[in-house]
Amino acid sequence: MLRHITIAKHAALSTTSAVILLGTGLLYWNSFTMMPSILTGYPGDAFFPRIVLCAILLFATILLVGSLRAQFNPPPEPSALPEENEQRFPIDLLELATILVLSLGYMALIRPLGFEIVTAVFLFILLERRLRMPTGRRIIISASISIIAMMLIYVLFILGLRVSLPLLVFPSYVSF
Amino acid sequence: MQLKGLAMIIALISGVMIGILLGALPGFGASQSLALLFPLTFTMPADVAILFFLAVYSAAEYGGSIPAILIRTPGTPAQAVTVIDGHAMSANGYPKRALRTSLFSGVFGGVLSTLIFLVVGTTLARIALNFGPGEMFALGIFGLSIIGSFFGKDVARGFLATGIGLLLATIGSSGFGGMRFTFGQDYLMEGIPIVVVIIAFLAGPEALRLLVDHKNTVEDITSTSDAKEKRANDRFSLTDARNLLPTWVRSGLLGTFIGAIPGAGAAVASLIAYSQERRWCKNGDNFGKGAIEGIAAPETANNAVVAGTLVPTLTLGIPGSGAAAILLSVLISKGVAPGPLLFSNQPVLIATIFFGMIFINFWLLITGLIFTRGFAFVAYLPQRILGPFVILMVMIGTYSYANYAAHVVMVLVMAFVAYWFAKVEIPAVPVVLAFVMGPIIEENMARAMTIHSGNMIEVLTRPIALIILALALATFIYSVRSNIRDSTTPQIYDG
Repeated sequence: MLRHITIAKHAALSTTSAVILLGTGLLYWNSFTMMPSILTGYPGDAFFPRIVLCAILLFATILLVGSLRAQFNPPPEPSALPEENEQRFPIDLLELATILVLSLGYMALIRPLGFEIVTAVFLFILLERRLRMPTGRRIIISASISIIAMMLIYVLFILGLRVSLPLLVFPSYVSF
Repeated sequence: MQLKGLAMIIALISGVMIGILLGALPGFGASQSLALLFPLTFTMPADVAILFFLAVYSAAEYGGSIPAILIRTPGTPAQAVTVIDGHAMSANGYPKRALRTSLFSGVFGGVLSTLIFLVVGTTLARIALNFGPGEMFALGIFGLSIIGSFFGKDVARGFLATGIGLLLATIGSSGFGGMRFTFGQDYLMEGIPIVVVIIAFLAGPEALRLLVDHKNTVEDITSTSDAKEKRANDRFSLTDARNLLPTWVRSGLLGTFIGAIPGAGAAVASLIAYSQERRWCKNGDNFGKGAIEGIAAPETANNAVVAGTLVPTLTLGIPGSGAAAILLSVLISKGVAPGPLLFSNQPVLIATIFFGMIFINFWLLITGLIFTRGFAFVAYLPQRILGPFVILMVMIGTYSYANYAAHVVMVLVMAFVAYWFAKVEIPAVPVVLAFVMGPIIEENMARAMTIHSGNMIEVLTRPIALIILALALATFIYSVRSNIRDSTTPQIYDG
């Protein structure tokens, strides 16, 4: 099951550095499409980005070399720092994917369904899975907190700060 | 125009309270807060409008530290540095101490810079005038040398993150008619907003950490006596104040001077104050682990910037920051002409601003003390419960900036990248700080090169620029040597 995976730190850093190096190369190639200089003395649009890309290239290479060396030549003695000896870290892929889908769904549905429904449902789904209590009580408390939080955000952001969020039922302003 | 009258008092008190609230909301920095409140000033007399704005500005710079300390989400760019030790102290069980340190430091910085403003305002403005594009470029490079050197598990990671921040800042219009790295996408034409980067790299991974890594965390139930002992120690004492006095003075002076430099801003002031304090204070080795000086230095500096910003704004008509630009608009709309003779032509206005700033800081102290207990409550919430609210604030805060769903998608994507970066110990703070510094560096470099027909040597060998660049080089060499010599001495890692 791919829900929980553990990844070797040095391998993760090597891969990250390699991806950054690849991206740097592509962006450097893209910099040749930028506008040349239009003013005397001005070095052109690509000048500064290229300097930055070269710096990224340098430090990503240092990291890549360092992590590959650490991967294939581990230190003979444990490090003084306990965190140096933790060579792997866990990732909950399913939870990450859930958060991503819920968040994108929130943005996709906020217009058709309105801020009120989408916000309350979003909070409810996330809270319900995190409260440690019997099912019935958990559902009621999650629903109550979600609705109260949604209304607080409505009062603070929409009525108070005049932020324009798509509303289904509530008025966008209140006058007295 | 005199500091009296119920309207003035109400404006100052309400300005402080609104400023704290807006500053604490991700997506609402000082500039956005002032822009939002600009229409309210149309019916106010000039002195009331100016002080209302200064109240909001000062309070927002403090307000941004509240979420920075409690949920690792800076309310404004300047608090990206406060996050490091502020959140660490709060996570160690001392949220009130962290919040009160921030409060007292901010008030001290505000009062000190107000006094300096009154005494040497015009002199400071004349010195700041010597900072041309070359000097600003050099200051930016010095800032980068600090960012890359002091943040991150090692120098390579620190500078890599710095480079990524600079690269993100180049996306969009070059300012000379060209587009960079937009790949034909409309939403990248105007570049990536600073709010998006701050939220994505600081608040976003924190939200994911709370939601994913702490999904099943159940906090240890501490015994009643342990809890009582921790609560008893969770306070800001007179001893703390006495010990912090040197930090406050150093950072206040730095913040005031940097605030007087047009374009530098509170983020630069916080960063430089933090790095210098780490060098000077005896507790430097504990920076990054919840050191009280690590909170006091940036918070003193970023509040000192408020009065410092007034120096070029009032004496030269040059706004030192986005917030100052809005303040300048208010001044001009009320018929006040900024310039070198303002101090002599309008002594009553200057006195009003001076006493008003003192009152603002006094009221900020009172308000902060009253509400600290309430703010600290957030720190006691179980982390798994906090997660859903933080991710929701991330999305709504981003959306409220420009009502643009593409920004929220950008934040989500970058937040996942930042979460991964945290796993491989690439720090996020340098990305944000470099993103802020990038335009300062590139614009001033381009300006300097255009003025000097491309002769960069001429620019870099000006005395002030040369001194600053030498400091930058010394900082870089020092950090590389420290890193090589003693790899068991950790840098400040904000992950």
